[in-house]
Amino acid sequence: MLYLSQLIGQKIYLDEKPYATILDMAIFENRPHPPVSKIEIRHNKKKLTISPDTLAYHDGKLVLKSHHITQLPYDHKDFYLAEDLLDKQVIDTDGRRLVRVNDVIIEVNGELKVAGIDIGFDGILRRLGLGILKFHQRVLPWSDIEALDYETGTIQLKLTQNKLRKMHPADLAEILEDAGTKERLGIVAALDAKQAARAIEEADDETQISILDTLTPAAFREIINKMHVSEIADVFHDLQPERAREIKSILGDEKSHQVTNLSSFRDDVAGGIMRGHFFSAPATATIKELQQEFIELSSIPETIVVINSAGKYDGIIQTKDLLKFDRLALLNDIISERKFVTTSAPFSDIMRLFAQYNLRSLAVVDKDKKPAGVIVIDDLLTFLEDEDNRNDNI
Amino acid sequence: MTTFKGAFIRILPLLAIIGPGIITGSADNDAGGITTYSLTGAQFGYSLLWVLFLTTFALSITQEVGARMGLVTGKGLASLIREKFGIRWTTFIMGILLIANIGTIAAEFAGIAAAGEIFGIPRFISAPIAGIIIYFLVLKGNFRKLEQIFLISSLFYLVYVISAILAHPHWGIALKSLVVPNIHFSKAYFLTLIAVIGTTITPWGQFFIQDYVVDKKLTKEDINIERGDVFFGSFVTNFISFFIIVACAATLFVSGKSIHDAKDAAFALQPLVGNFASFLFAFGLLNASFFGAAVVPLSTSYVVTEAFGFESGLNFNYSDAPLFYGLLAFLLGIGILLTVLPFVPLLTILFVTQAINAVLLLPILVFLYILSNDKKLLNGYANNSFINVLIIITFGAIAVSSLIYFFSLFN
Repeated sequence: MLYLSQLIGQKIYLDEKPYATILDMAIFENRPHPPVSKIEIRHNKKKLTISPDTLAYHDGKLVLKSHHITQLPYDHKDFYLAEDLLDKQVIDTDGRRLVRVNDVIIEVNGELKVAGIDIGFDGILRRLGLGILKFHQRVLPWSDIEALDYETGTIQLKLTQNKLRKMHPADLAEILEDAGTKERLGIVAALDAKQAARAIEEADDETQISILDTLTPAAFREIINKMHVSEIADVFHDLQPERAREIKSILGDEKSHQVTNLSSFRDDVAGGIMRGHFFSAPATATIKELQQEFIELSSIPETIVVINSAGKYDGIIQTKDLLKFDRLALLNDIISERKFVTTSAPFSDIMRLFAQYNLRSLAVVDKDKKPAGVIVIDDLLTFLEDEDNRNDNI
Repeated sequence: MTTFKGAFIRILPLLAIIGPGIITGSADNDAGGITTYSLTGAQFGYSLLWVLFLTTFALSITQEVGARMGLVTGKGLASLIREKFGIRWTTFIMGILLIANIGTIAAEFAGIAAAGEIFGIPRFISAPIAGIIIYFLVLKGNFRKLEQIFLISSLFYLVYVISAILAHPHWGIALKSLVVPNIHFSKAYFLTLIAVIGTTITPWGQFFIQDYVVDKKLTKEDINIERGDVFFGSFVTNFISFFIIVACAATLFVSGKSIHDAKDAAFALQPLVGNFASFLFAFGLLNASFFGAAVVPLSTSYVVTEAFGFESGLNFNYSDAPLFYGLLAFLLGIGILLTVLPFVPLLTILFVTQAINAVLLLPILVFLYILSNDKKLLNGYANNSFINVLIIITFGAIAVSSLIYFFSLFN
């Protein structure tokens, strides 16, 4: 086993005499154990790119096998270990965070292959020439990381699998928050639009704004289409004016009206906390009718907002409670909760209602008592978490 | 009502962006800053004002470069150095930064101790107590509140503006001195000159502005507002510094008084508040030192652990980020220790550390210059030649005056 830091700067010998110095190595990065594909060397102040087959490893020395050196074309798109990996940040898909690469572990077994990366303190000491000191060794296998191109920030996708797609949106969101500008966009590009939308929604407001402002128009359109209206509304006024206009044209009249409506509320009142999309049904409907409607929905709502004949708020029903009643019962008769708040109710009031009455959800109404949205307990947690983040940041 | 609300919401993004430049700028007028400017005015009257005038541009430019690199890359200066220059250069620069910041932290605690001494509290009591308060404030506290309190109490500096006016300074000479250099070839003059530069453009401020911009997730679209913020912040900082120097020149320098300890510097506030001056000065010094003593150790621990890839930040528990918290405690501890050692005069700590900062800024400027000219990295946002010339002049000015001072030691 070797370390990249021990190979870079090494002399290559030809006929027992130093011939060139190793500058960098490219790999076939999308293989599970990526072999070295090209070696960049310096010979007589010129940079050459050669194949690893021309080298042999003898008694700790790198030797050229013959005087005939086949040169390979240099392609900046290749994934180079020193340029794109060493000292850069990669995604640890297992630990679900960004880690910095202190060294690259290379196997010598007939050919040179990358086994993994060193992220421990020992790696730093070794590179500073203090290798005899040992404190803490930490390594990650190549299969557990996703690396990004240094120049463009794009993810070096592996053919085998894209582990990012298996990560939870909340974990992806944290990585997005910590990544640099290019890297952030590279990660988003490696996800499908729906996943990207979920991950962006889970990130803090500043990160959401920064991503939405810098996405390419095509990606922006796709992702906006997959985002929840209430999430778009949260950051709508902080986006670049052109982007806000684009959102309106992407979403169409009805949805963009919802966005502007929701975004006119402050963050810390019911209107800003609630979700604008909710399921509503008339008080005169029966459970049976409701069940019919559910069949056509992709997911069954947790809460049903019941409205009276005048279109005003009547009460809410938890979907699970429907099981307790006869299928012909009218919604009006089985309403479990009639409490509500207006869109301008402050967070502290909402919190008190939830705590006092052990609510799972609460209806929000406008000044005409028409339902405007619903707050579920998750929304309160999100609000509290955002608040906490805002206070901690430097 | 609705239109008002609409208008308010539209200004909000502006408020979110404004901040990094102003905060960094105001934090530049810390304990070392007040002391250095007071000494400058008291010893040399108006004759160093031209340096202050030129540093305003140097500060604006270096801060703009830092903010711009943060906006475009979304990465801090330490990360950029690590990724482009590798681990050895990173270790070198982190070493430089640690030395500079330990000096700065010691100066902040010396400021706290000096303020304490005005109230008759000995330094071996005030500094450790302040250190403990800061450690818990940083761990448990709420950074945003701290920042707000700091910004509001920065209004204290306005007393220097009023005091300067009431002292009837010679405005004609003061303004002329801003643009016409008046060089004395003495050791003290060059040391003060270096300290004025070093207290304004600091190594920690360079890392801080970039991290702040990155932390706020500002993007290229925000660049013009952020530039405005940085330029305004730099202007405000040196606007205040100008009045501190003028106030001291019109009081201490005119009456031939020299500053031997912090109490003497308070004399500059007498025209405004009379005998109340030392109390007010102590309050201002305490405020300036306290914020610095919290921010500099925190941002140093953050930058250093980040550069080496260790868990870093207040979001982690102690057991998950032992190096971050360990370094924080170490920095506070060493700052206190350097202050309470009874044989070092507080004034010397406050003043000399600023000059050392200027010299330690030199290598950082080199890295800043190379990185901010990297077209691949900044993709259309690299420096133009005007900015490059200003960075080179700043570097040259610090280097030349340091050399002159160095050689004057042997003559």
